[in-house]
Amino acid sequence: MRALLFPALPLARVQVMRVIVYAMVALDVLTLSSDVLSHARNPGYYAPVLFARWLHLPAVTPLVAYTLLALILGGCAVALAGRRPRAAGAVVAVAFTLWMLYSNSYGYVAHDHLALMVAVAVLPTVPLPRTDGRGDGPDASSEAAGWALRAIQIAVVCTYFFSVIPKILYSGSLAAWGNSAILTWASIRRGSVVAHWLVETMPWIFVPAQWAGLALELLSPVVLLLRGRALYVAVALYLGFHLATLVLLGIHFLPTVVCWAAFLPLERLPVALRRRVSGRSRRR
Amino acid sequence: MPTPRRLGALPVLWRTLAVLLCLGVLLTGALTRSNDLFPLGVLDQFSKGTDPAGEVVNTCLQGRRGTGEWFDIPFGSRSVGIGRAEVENTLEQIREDPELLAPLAAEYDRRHAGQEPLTELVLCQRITSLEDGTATGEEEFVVVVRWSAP
Repeated sequence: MRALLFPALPLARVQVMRVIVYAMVALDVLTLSSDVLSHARNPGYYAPVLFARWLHLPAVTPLVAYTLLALILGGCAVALAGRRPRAAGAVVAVAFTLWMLYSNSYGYVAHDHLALMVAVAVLPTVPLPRTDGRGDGPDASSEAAGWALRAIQIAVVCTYFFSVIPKILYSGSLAAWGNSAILTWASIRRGSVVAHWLVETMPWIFVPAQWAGLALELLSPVVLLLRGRALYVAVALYLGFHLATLVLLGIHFLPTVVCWAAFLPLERLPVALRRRVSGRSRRR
Repeated sequence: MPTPRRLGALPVLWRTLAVLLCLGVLLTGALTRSNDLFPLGVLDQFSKGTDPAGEVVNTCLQGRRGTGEWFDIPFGSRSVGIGRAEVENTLEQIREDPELLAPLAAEYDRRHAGQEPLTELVLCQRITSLEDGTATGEEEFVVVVRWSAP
């Protein structure tokens, strides 16, 4: 159990993950979840989810929306600059959670932010590398870093695996969903030119595509056990799935996609970058 | 390779409980089909399989100024201030109270300040019939709710 939830992973991997996550959060509030700003003008549609009701959150106002936006962007900027990333991350965690509660309390709940919300919650729990006399070297690792990365990985996997249950409950069985016309439905409602072309010329392709999607969702927990090349192939497979839904339906799941980075040896990136920079300076 | 920094018993305990709690809430949300538990609610996007011999209902919005032509208005925060899914999930309330469309018209007018304000807004549906999982026949247009400016 301890090895599963608390693998000792490099602190450098968490440092790179912080850059990816806080850059994504800043992009997210300015684009994907910027509906909070317009929700401030639609109080009649406010239908607070449970956690929003527990917190007694009133309908969002322009003042509250812009204050949260400033806190999130300010916190992300500070964390990205590497200044007090844990404190700045804690501010982002609170403000971004409130922001997402508002984004999803106006009649529609999106499901692509689970892993990103977990990421902003767990990253501040990872202690920074020690800089005192016991200073950590570049290869330092910790169980706290391992747990945070594992939590993000589990959230990514849950995003797929737990979507299987409602398919059974709503459609009667997995076979009923797999053999349904759900991709035709989605293509007609929000499909790209490519999707409409497929509906007209080869609609038979959607049923095997639905079964392939189901297989990816059902098998997603296996990714938690993979290592090395098999893991990278699996990550590429899931990113390919998202590329296909982007091309066909304009659905990118970007907040989940970036969290797949938690599976990768990101600590090698700074080393590679450093080598590249030093290589350039030597050539000058 | 330096020795990894290990966690004490208490940090291990609360972190383990946090993971188990979140998984428990996710499972509860999935089994009770509850979106109310966001961000740990049911992950039910695209989970209702469409009948291959059923129909596809595409919710739409049309507006007009004075006695001018009706024109399509896109949903979204950069148009009427709210997305199609939010409107679809609030359809029953909108049917009972068409005034819920007023803020959509106001937001659209605010974003088109140089033009005459909207005098009417129609929430509509374009319905496509399916046969063997693909579109068939002509699209049907249905007016769901009509809102007129006071």
